[in-house]
Amino acid sequence: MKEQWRLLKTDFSTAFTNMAVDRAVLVTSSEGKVQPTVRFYGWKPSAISIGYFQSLEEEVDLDTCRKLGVDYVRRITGGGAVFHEEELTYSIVIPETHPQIPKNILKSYGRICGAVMKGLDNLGIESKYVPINDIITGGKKISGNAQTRKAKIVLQHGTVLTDVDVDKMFSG
Amino acid sequence: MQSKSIYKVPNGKLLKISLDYDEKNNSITKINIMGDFFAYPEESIESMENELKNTILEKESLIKKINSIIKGYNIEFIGLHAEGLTEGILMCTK
Repeated sequence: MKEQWRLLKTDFSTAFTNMAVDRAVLVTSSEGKVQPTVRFYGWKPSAISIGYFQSLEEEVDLDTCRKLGVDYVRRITGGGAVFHEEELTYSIVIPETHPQIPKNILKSYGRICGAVMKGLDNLGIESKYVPINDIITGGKKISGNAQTRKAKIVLQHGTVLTDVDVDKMFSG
Repeated sequence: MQSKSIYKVPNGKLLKISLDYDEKNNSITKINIMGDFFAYPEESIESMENELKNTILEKESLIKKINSIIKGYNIEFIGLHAEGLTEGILMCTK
């Protein structure tokens, strides 16, 4: 059976817009107003997102962020702090009851990460899923992922690194 | 008394606890449970922090209390578990 999904390409936005749009898609999906949605986006200016349970002051050097013009935002998903700069970010929003989504949360990480890996494979990049929420290539992390479930909807978002400025990421 | 701990949960995530405790009664006054773990539903961790107030800082009582909160609020952890949380909390008192 064929099924229609929605593809959103929202280009570059601020950290606040990016996280608000992901949440808005989750809310509209829970109201049954939209199809399963895959979104691709980027971050301008560069930003740090922290996990739902992290301490902003402990994870982020706020002075350095202000100096470098880097935004910071808290995600509605758990997981760690992420420096968003040279990357493609995705989100997928889909009902928990969808046949493609395992009920078990950890298994559903594997399922969605598998789709990201298929995309990488199409680009000629061999990768491996490292539970709980990482994808590695050549022994290094290329993608970090985080999932929440609210109102019977699964939202998973994650990064696919295209480059990284390690000095900038750990500066300050 | 205020104290903090950082604990890498075996096969799990990095747990950071910030604890205020009553030394005389050996019990929790206030607790913040932080880290890069996952918990579903996310809002339940705030309930966990509230429910842990006045719990005795002793391994058996903590595990029992945490497990009953997990059950009561239907919490699912990924990268964290009751034993790991107990260990992180008790590290604050050492």
